[in-house]
Amino acid sequence: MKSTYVDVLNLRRMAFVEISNMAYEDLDLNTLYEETFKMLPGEEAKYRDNIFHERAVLLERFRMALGLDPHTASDAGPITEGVEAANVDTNIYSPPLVDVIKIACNSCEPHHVKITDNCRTCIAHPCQSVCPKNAISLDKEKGQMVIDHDKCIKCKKCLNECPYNAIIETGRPCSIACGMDAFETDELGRAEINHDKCVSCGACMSACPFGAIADKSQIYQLIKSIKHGNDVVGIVAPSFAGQFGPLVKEEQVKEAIKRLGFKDVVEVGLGADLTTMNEAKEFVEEVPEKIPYMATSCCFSWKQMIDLLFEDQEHLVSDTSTPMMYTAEQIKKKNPDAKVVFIGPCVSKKLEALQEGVRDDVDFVITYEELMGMMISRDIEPSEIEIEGLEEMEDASLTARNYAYEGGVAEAVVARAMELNPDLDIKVENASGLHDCIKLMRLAKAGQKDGMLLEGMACQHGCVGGPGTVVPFNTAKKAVKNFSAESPFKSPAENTNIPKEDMPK
Amino acid sequence: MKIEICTGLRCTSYGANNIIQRVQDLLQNIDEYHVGEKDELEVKLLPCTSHCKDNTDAKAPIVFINDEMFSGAKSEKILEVILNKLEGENK
Repeated sequence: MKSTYVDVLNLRRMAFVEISNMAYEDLDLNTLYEETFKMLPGEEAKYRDNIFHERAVLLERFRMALGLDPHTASDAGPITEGVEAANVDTNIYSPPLVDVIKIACNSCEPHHVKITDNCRTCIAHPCQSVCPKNAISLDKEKGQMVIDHDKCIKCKKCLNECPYNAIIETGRPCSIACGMDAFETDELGRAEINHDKCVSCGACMSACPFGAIADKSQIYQLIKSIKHGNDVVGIVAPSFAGQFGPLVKEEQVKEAIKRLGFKDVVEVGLGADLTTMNEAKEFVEEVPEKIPYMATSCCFSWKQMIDLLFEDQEHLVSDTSTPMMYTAEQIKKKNPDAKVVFIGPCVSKKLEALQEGVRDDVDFVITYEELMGMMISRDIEPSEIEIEGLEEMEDASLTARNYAYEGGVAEAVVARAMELNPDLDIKVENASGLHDCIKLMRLAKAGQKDGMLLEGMACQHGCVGGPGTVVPFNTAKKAVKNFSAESPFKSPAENTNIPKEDMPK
Repeated sequence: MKIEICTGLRCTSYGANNIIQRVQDLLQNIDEYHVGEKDELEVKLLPCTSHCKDNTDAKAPIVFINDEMFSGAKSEKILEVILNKLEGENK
């Protein structure tokens, strides 16, 4: 998330705290409407044009935090319609995962180049002279140059030429952030996601300065599962280091999660070690003899993007399972009754967890931001937990913990492949952010990446830049590296937490 | 000048990260402001100070500038206070 979007983040996070509180306290969900008055009291709006609008948007956030679909202004039913369905202890997901809260959308104009009132209608008008489509003319009434948008091809030649910087390129932040070109416009000019194109990376959620895009949460049902006495086990993604305050140790985070009612907390890095070993083995055996190159398998949005846009390359994605999957399997192997909760920076893991072969092992997926809401609702303060006496976290190797940032996955796989065969010289290329991922795949498809290991991460900078994160990516990356250095295992093969029978042969 | 930023979970959730980033940016680029030197500022991150929980008037995020508490702190206000104080001190 963008830490500069302070008010947007506050509004999002308020909803997570409130819904967590309602779950823990067994409060009647039919009182959601009244709750908005407590959270946004008074007659004056703080964030939007009026207080009614503000409360209405908050209600939509509540609905999505409960896992329900958002309403639109024309929905005739009460805002609490269907809330009973949320009051269960299992995931209630129905598609789509990521959606526009229509009444929060500002109907920003789609991408275009425009001449602002900085225009002085100068005699030189270089904007006009450089335009290759003869799209710029003087509007005498407006007293400035204007662009005919039917003609404009957005080449931006004029933009660089204006001596008054009067020409700008602008558009919708959601659509600019979207690598899949999934944004369309509804009949009222509001953003609409084409769900056939969306891979649920969540980039639009982070980008919208009106907080108008959100994903559905599972915290309410998770808390119910905890309260019903299930053995709930949290598995924390490698990027968790540093997410809960700069002075908080990872062991304190683990203890804080346990105080929420979790029976245990295990690093997803444990499964990442299995991913590394299996993927390295697969690469060594298959590239270049059987397949020309191999793409990494751990990012679900990256894989979905390849499915949608590069169908003929799909078989070149590694068959190895993801760290989430391997970790969950290990937990369920020890305790088949456990309810496994993936805690990460990721939105699309919520979809990966519903896939066949995964859904039996992963019961819930939540983000760091949502987990933080749960902690705040219970007044749990990780920085205040006594460190002494806490068990050290030793689930994962150094290279597994580095999965959290761009380049880390490929680095781990290559290091492991070199252990298998020191003579190898594996070339790697990585891309982060779907725009760059798509560029990389185009080159790969054209045969320009043969022999290589291609690492793709849908979020910019990797998982540390994910939509469910709390701290800026560079701060998170530093924390991850510090935590990696503390691992007792330099190589995944040294990880004593992995049973011998599960080690790749 | 002593700047202390609370980094408890509520503060982290409601804007402390942005304040930390803005203050770090100021430290890095302080020459551009022509108001003072980097070493005039002592920035410290605090574990939870409990003010937002114990004191009904205080709201996260909490920042102290020379022991004066700013509750419900916004980065723009904190930076303004820091720059004004620096300017005053170096007049």
